[in-house]
Amino acid sequence: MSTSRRTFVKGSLAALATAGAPFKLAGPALAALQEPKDRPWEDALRDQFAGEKIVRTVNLPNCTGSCGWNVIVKDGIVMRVEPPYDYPDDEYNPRGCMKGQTYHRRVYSPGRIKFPMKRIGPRGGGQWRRISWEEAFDFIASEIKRISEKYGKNTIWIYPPVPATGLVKQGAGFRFASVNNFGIGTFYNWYGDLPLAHPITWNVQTEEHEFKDVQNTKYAIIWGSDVLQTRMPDAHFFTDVRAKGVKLVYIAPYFDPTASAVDEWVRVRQGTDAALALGMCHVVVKRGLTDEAHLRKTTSGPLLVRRDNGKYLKQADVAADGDPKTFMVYDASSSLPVADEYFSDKPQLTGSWEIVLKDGSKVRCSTSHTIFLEQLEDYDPKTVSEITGVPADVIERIAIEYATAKPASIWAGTGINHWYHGDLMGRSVIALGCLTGNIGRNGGGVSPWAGQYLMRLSPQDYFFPLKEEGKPDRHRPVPLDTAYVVNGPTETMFNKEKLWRQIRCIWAAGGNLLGEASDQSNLMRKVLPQVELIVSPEIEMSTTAQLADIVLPVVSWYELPFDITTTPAHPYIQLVEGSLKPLYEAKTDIEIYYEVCKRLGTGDIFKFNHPEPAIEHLLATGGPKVKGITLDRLKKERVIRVNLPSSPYAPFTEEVSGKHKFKTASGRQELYKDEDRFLQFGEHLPVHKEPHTATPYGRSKVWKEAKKERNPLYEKYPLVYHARHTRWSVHSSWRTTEDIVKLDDIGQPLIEMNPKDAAARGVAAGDWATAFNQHGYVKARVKIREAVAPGAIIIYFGWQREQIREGHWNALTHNDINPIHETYFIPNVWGPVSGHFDQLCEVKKA
Amino acid sequence: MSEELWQKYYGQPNPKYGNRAQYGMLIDINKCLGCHSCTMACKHTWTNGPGQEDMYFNSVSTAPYGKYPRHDGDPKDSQKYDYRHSNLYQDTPKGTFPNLWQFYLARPCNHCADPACLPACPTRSIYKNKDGIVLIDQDTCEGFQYCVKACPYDKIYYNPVTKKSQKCVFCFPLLEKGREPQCVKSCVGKIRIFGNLMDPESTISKLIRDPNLGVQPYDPETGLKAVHRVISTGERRQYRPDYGTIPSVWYVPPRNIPQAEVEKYFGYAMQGLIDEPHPVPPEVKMKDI
Repeated sequence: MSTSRRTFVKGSLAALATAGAPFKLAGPALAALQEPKDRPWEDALRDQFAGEKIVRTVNLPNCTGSCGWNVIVKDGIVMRVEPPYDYPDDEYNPRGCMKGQTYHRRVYSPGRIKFPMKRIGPRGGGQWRRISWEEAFDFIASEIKRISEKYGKNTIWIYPPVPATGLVKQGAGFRFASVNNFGIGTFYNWYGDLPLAHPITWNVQTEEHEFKDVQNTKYAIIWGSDVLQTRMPDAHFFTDVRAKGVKLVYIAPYFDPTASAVDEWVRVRQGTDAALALGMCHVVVKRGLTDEAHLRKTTSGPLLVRRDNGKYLKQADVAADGDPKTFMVYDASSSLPVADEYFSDKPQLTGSWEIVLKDGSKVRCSTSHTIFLEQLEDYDPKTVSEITGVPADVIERIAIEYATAKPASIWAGTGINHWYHGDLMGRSVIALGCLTGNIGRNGGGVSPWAGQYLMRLSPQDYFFPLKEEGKPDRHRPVPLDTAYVVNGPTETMFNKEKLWRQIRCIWAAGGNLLGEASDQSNLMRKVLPQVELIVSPEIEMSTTAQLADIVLPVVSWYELPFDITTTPAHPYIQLVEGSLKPLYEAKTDIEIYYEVCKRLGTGDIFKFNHPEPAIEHLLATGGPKVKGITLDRLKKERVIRVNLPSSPYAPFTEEVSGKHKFKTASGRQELYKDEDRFLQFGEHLPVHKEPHTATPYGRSKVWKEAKKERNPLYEKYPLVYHARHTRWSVHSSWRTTEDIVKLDDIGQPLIEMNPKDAAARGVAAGDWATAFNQHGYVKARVKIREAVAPGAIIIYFGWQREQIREGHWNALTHNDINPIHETYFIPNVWGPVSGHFDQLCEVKKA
Repeated sequence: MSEELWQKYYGQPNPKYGNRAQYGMLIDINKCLGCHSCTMACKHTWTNGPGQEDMYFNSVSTAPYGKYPRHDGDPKDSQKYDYRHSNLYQDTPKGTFPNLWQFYLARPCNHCADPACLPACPTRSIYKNKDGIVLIDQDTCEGFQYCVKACPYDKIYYNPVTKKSQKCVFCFPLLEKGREPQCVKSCVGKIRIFGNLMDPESTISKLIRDPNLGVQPYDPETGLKAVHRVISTGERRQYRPDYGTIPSVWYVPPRNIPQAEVEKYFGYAMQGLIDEPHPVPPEVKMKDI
């Protein structure tokens, strides 16, 4: 005991020295050894867990995490949520970040909309009159009727939320537009999340590896995707493999959180990622690291291309009775072009020949790989270093590391999507994956992580109901692409008559359109004044709700009776079940749609006024991926893995093993495109073009020409402007939640810049400053951070109208529409992709 | 930590307080996402009441500039704490672009083997329970706040509404039900291992003693299903061991920052532990006191 006491005294002295407290304690802390029964206060803490009821549900934000939560309810109040640890695959436990944990604060938010309201003052004036649901439905229906008669039904425009927000809820928006023949907006392409390189190369909307597949990789490049901030539930797969010794490389212009958690951060100049990828391709080719079998068997590499017009050589070109859709390859044994056969290892991958056409004339043809190799000559590491700012030896080294690690994976994000030339960046990165044979392999692939699109079931029958059972005719909405709705029509658009209208009524179905739209100035100045009715079904007073004419209270996820959700990178179908009765006068979206349809005379076609039968319908007609999954089973199991061909899921495994072709015209991965528009713009193969706006050099030009020019806009606005995703919000969701905002620095919008740029403009940290360009401005406090590259500013976005002192962070963005994106139009698959990272600005002290 | 040191610190019951178990944590900083899920899970469980608005038993800040709480209030009073904006300077790295470093430092209460707060309490309300968890009796605390000043880690908070000092309880009511603390359970980066440091068979003590054990899947001894948590290999350190309180929260220090900086946070130029003579006294029995 004596030793003990001596130590104690010493310890307490040390403590006193630290604390400088003017007292000392003579005896040992007897209290420390008291038995627990003498501490009745402990029971208060134990008792706080008594009487809790647990309901397993899923949160449905647009981060598309679809994380399961145990909602803990006591006396009818949600106390907190906890991860349920019930994903059948334990690698996925736990899911869910601090936002999901804080959703109940939004359920009880002071900004919660309690009852239907009608605007009485000017728009955005904040003056409302409480109305009854009946009055709201009647008013909306009569206004819709009036507008339909005056301007046409397709000027009633439903702006749908993404599928991750609940298939029943989102699908109901589609169904509502379908049965009434209204216009419907697009989201995936217009958000800038659609990696257009995927439909271009593979003719798929988007395909990516399940995140669990990171475990199979030997080398991972995270390309412009700040996964630590934007994919928190799955980011551990990356840090886990790193702990096991797999090298992680992060390619991005800024020292983002992800840059601090990887082995190597490659700092690339904004918007030059295509050049970097092609530089790596160059090294791969020069070092002889190409996977020729992969190129020959599965890519457009061996397909013959006519050098006179850049088109693929077709059978009809060489034979009078040839098929105009059959692609040709060169057969060395017969020295003749022969019809392409998928997965054959015979065709020549490189070479040029004089081919005799059916009219007897000769035309020079090369394999498309030959042309690609010629083009790659321009991307030697020295030139690429000049373009991208990445040292030549680093380009060389990471190219070799990537090409020699088998399998090696690339995880790309919005950093290379949100650009005018995002498609070229994506195609260049995919080319790198193809050259090294990493496509279609577990642990390999090029997976984009941006946004939400894919549903693990076919929603066709629910979204677009059949007109008559047994016949193929369906009720369909009119696709009015959001990009055109905001921007206005273009000369080069696919179908002006069909795809654009001056809209007259916006039904912002669960999305904060007016708060989040890029090209904010255009939307507010040109489009909005002509809109006669804005309906905002919302839970909280978002920017859109504030600017709406009618605000409808919608149930939160914890009040939703039922819904189902699936996400692409996390292959489960899950049941959403509310734990609370609807608060205030809130109703479900599906009920609101039904009531309006009833008044428009389409209630019988819309049919559903409650989620349960809608779920049953969705599952019954959902196709093979949800075969055997029923609502009853979901109610019991809550989370069920959908039927997928591989686990962990990797796309194209069957294609690259020759089981079937790719879905493209040639049946191969098309690195080479021969549509007129691609040829016209010199984009038949992936090339680097300088950014459309955010460049000091010639805009949208290839390097040889670009470097000789100066961008006049850049002289005026020398800072790249990036409004970016933050960990603290999912777009504007959670941006007004106090618990979350309090953890985000000072809880205000911040213009974040490098100290050098700040000093040059005489701005200090905490100063008010204005970031502006020719389109608009935003005023905010300045945060100074070395993490932001000199010559750029970052503003983490999502702030609501009342949180921004002046202007809007999206007021500076303007998206010119890239004609390549208009080659075809398939809603959310091929359409204008927003380039809101392609912006410049200047900052001055406010 | 060498086997010898483990024996010294955890191989015996606590020489002063007699606890035969010492619950602790191992946090892999290399894997931290900086997402604050731990902070939020803790806040919604323990500090969502009046007077606790800026109280985070578990906090995460971006080292080196982020600090919680900050002391930069009154120059006359270095111990005037500022609890507001707990995540100020988030993602503000040190260095000059592009040579930068930062790391996320998640900190719950250390539940020290030799806590500085405990002897500072004039009402003897602070005690170490049989699991080694340091608690403040809310019935007897009179809010003198000497503990707040004594804790070198600033992990005790004064609640101006209840007029008591409060701190992390390592979720002991949940431990009693066989569950892990909220910050561990909710950690979506899967960076935390929790367990009894004094149990030679526990995962945490094995992981701390053998730095090469990191990549093994982890079966927690608690009632949860097996959880795949991968911890980086490499040295395990305590945060600021130089305070001498023998913290029970261990870290795998960040690999991406200069070694000299690691030493400032996780060793203070002592290369880790304070390896001073620290004799292990004989077992304490109730009758000795």
